[in-house]
Parts: sequence; structure tokens; C-alpha cells
Amino acid sequence: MIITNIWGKKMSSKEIAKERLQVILVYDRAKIEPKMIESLKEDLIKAVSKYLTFEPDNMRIELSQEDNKSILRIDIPLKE
Amino acid sequence: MGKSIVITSGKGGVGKTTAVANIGTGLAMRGLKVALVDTDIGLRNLDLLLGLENRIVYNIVDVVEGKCSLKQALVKDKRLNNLYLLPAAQTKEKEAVSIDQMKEVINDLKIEFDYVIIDSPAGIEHGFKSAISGADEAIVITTPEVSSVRDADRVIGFLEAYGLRDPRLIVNRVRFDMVRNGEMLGVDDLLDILSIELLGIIPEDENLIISVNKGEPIIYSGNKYKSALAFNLIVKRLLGEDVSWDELEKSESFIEKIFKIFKG
Repeated sequence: MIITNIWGKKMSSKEIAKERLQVILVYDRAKIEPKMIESLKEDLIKAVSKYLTFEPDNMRIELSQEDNKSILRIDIPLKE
Repeated sequence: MGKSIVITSGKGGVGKTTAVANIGTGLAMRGLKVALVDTDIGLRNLDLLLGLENRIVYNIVDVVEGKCSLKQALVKDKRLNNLYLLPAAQTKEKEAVSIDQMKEVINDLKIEFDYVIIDSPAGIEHGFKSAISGADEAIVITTPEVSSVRDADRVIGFLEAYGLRDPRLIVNRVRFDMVRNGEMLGVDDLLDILSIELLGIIPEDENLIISVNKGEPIIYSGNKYKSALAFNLIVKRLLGEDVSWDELEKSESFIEKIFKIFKG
């Protein structure tokens, strides 16, 4: 079965498995439910919108792991 | 003083008990004195894989309750007189052996045996914690499936939290053909994801099912079957021998080629 990733590149089921695992393990290790990040994003949009102008669609939240530490990165590109 | 090694997985059904039976037998075939400990209380299985189910009189719970001595509970293997099984109790609760009691049993066995191989129950509850409590080293076993890899990652985290640093990985039921076709996670992918040292790879092998049916660990067949060869390589590596990673895949593709010739 061939599925394409978000850049339209063809992915094998093995690559899909690897990508899914890499994402879920970051959440497992940080003991965070993926859904919680979604809720955080919604709250952040509300909070930041009070002070600054930005496009919510361009906002990025990413949980990653570096040297056994979980890192939450939030990118909010502001409108000129 | 011998060495104790726990074999664990998190997820059930990935081949822990089969690995314990074969690695233990393999070590004993090399002349080492080996004790296998089944800590899966209430769900005893290691006896079946060794074909010793009819020889059990006492079990580990009887030992900790003082109903018999450790020596009385040990069941000698049918074929090798330097291989012993300490069976789990089949009718008791998981909590029947406390963590301290387990540590004591394992320590006593280490005095008598070169290797004590501990079969851990699935899960990460009491039984798992007591199984790892007496271990000097840990081996984590997984299949290349996402659910089993996820559970293995949890277990690796637990082992490290409990002071069992640097567990080693066995990947079971690998189908090299599917890996090559991009339809199964490869060993390199798993090492990438889990960041753990590799101890061995066991190819999917229907002969293993037959050996379990008979209660004869497949490692007895020498290197006749690919899974037996895989277990032999694991035993060698455990004993510190340098073994090439390619040996297995090469042998598998060799067997495949012969099959193709016969099939025409």
C-alpha cells in the first residue's frame, strides 16, 4: 500500500509506521496526551490574539526530545 | 557468583518465554550451569516450552512460603543435567512473591548457577517489577510492530528508572523480505527509534511453532533452522563473542535461493 506524506512524497507502510512511532513516543516519554497540545494551541490562540496580530494557521507547536529532555517549541509568525 | 538476566517486553505474545527457553538452553549446551526462573505467577508457560510440565512438584511461591527448599523446587531439564527450571505457581496471585523475596531467590540462585535467566510477565505492574528486581542485566524483546515497539519503549524507560541501565534489544519475527519491500520496520529503524544496543534478530520461522508443540527448544537443532541459528548467535554475543550482523540475513537469503531452485 502506498500513501503520500504531507509533501506529496510516496511513503511505504514501513515509513508510515516509523513516523507514527517517532511522534507517539515523544508524547509517551513526556507523559503528555497529543490531544492536550491541541487544547493548548486553542488557548494560546485566544491569549496571544488579545495582544498581537497573527495568522492562527501559521502557528506551529512541536514537542520534541533532545538529550532525554522534552522540549515544547511554539512558533507564532506575526503579521507585519 | 553468577549473572542474572531478565527478559522482558511490555507487550505480551512477542516471544519472551521462547527466548528464555532457547537462550537458557543454548547457554547450558555450552556447559554453563543455568537456572531459568518463570516469574509469571498464575500464567505459567516456561515449563511447557521446555517439555517439563509433568515434572513439577513445587514452585517459586512454595519456596518463598517456606513449604520447600529452593533446591527441591528446581526441576532438572530432560536432556541437559546443568539446566534447571524454577517454575511459577499456576494457582496463586501475582502478588504472592514480594520484590524482596524475589531478590533473595535470585541471589540464592546466583550462588549456585553461572546464569540465571528470568522470564518476566507481560505488563509493567507488580509481576514485572519483581521480575526485574533481582536482575543484573536486562534484555528487551519486541516484534517490528508499532504496538510492540511502543510498549518496548515504555519498558526501557522503566528499566532505566529502576537502575537497569543499557538494556539490550532482541527483535523477533523479522521478515527480511517484507523489510526489503518497505512493508515492515527494519532492525535499523527500531534501533533509531528506541536508541538501544542490539543483541539479536530472530527471523519469523514456522519451525518455532513446531518446536513449541513438542516442548523442545529449537536451539537443540543446532543451526538447522534460521531461528535456531539466530538464538545461537544471541548466545554467542551474550558470552562476549564478536558476531557479524550479516550472518543471519545472508543465511536466510541462501535458504531462500535454495528454495527457489527446488521450486524451479
